[in-house]
Amino acid sequence: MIQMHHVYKTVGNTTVLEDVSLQVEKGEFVFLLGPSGAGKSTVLRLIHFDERPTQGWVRLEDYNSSTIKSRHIPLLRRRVGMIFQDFKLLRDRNIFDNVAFALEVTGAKKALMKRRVLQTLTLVGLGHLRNMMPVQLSGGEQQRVSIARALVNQPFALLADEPLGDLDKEAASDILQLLRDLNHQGTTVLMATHDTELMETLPYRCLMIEKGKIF
Amino acid sequence: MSYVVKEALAGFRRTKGMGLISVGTTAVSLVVFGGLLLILLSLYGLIDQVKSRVQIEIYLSDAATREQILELEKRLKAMPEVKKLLYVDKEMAAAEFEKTFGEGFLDAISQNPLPASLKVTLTSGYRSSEKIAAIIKAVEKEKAVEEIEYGRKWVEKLDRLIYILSFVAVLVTLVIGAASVFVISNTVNLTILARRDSIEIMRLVGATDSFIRAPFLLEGIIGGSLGGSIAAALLYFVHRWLSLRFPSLSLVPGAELAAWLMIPLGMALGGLGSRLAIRRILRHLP
Repeated sequence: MIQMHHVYKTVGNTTVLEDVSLQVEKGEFVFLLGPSGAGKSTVLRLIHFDERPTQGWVRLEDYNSSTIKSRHIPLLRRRVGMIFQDFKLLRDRNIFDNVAFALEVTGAKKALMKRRVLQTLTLVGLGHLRNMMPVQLSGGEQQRVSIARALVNQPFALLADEPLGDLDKEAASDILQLLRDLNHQGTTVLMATHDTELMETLPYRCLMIEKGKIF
Repeated sequence: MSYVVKEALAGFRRTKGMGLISVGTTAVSLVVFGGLLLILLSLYGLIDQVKSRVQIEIYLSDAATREQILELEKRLKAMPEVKKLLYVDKEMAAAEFEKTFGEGFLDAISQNPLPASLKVTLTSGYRSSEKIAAIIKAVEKEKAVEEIEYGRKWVEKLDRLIYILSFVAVLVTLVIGAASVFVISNTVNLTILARRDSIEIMRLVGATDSFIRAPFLLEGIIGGSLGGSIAAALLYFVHRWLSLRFPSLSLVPGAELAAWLMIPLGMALGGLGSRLAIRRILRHLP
């Protein structure tokens, strides 16, 4: 379960989030909808513990932002996958190594790493491209790699920050379908987007955010 | 562990020219630092060589008995400051005088006026005016002693020179050492900044800070040891060549061994530079 409780976030004199409370249940697919600058990314960063609230708290499974120790944050991040609009892939490693990297940091054994990476790449439909470099792939394929990297540690939740933003319509639709499939298999998905069309066409809960407030 | 080694070596490949610049900067900094160190060491050696000629001459009273002289000798020999003791009797003193000033000078006098003496050669490390004064104080009251002489002005001058040199050595070590840390740390910083994205992604996927730090530290240490080795080899061969080509420079024998100190120093500086740089980056990342 993901929970934010009366969270405020200020940076300098600017209030980025104001009294935000939300709850995402296990296995849910939720859209966080709002225009650019509304505070969507800040919400995701707070849930990923990249930032701490100025006031209020964030809870993720057993981890609470007001009590968590800094050394536990990496462990938490292995339980929550995150994907971005710009994919954030390592340009100097091939697809297999990019995905394996997320397991390497956990100290996983080589054999387990190989098996899991191949399974995950197959799941996102990229098993055959494992030896390619990121620049050789299309935007949609690169986003699939970043999803595979986010999934390879078998997280309970996936945070997606405008994952369709840089993709053409067809690729965006494929990625969206992939996220829906993952959600069907039990992964909680919280997806930040500015695309109101998604809210109208898909049967998922939608949290509206504007000027740092959730409606 | 294998991950750390693999990543550290891959780091050089990934940063390409930057890694070389970092190694080169370390080498240049250490050549400057080590070069100055060798020059200072050689100057120390030179001064010590001059000081090794300093002797204390204890002139003995003509009335001194054999027992009193032996007692004085015994006391002097027991002192750690005394390296060598030479007894010069009146005849030997006369012979030495004639050797210096020519024969015939002493013929006009019926009695040999030159006193017998003890020539004290000092152990290295006890050749300062302070130590000499302590020896003199310890024996001047002995009955056998008539007068004590040593090149006081010279020793004091050399002492002052050593004092200044020590001050310069400390200053040079601090200033050049700090400058080396600064330059090396900034160069390493550039190579690490070039991989800021990788570090950000490491954090994203749940890497601990120590996991992120380890390959960079090792890379810094390897780079530092390469830079240090280049500096050490250069200093060693230049020093050797100089001491063979210009023997009169009286470079301290074995001082070139100090050149090899540049390798561990390079490793330490590389590691420290990496640590500072990675800490700076980790602090600014989420």
